[in-house]
Amino acid sequence: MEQQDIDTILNQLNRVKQVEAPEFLLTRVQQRIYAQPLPQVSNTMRIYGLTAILLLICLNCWVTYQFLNHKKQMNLVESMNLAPTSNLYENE
Amino acid sequence: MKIEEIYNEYKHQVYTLSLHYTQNKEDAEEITQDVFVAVYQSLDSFRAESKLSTWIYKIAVHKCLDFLKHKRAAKRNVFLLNLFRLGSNTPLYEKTNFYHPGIELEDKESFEKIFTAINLLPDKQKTLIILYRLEHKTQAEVAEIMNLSIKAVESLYQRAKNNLKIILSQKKDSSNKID
Repeated sequence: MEQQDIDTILNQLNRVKQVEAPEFLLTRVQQRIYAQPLPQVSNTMRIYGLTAILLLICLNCWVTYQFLNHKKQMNLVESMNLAPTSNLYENE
Repeated sequence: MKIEEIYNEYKHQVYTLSLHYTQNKEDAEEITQDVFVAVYQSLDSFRAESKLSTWIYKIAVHKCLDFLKHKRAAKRNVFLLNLFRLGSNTPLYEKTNFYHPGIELEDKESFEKIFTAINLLPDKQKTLIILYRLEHKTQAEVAEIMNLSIKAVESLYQRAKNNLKIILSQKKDSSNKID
């Protein structure tokens, strides 16, 4: 292909006309622009939230651990035929 | 200046530019929306150092290239997915038809070949051809939009022309072989 050919081809591009944009596009652009933005959560609030979730998880683990520990103790007491409470000093 | 005024002034240029890049109606509409949303969001940061039209063209070119990059990545993913869907005959991705209402119907076939060749150029060269030959911008304007010097634009244009020549002659050869 000669240099002239490519110039002729590129000159053909002058025949490409400008296209009119569809009318509805402005409405769509406006919808996107003026749509209510989602409420922004600040970093401090995020840290508070994360800490609260971590605390809840820790509390949950502690309660579960206590419950299991108590159950284990009760099983031991039962297996050794011991009274679960000491009433030595209680008045009858 | 209100976004509606900017939109009314530049909507046709942006839409046409998007069509030059994509040759697809839906893609061009999506890019046009993206461009004006981006213009609205960064209108405060616009300093009158350059013309408003140059600034809008910069955003539009950036959005077009970004869109095409994502589309190419999506195509690659779909290709991989299709490889694993051996039983199914319907492809996940279907080639879109050439669409450019700025081209006369009788020219459509020849222009489709030229646009296919332009699409094969690297992004910078493609942008240069679109801005210089299709949008009829001056070399100085192209240089400003593309953040290049005029000398760089000149040499890039030569490279783009040479590459186009190679692509088109290869296509000519292959079509001759088929005939």
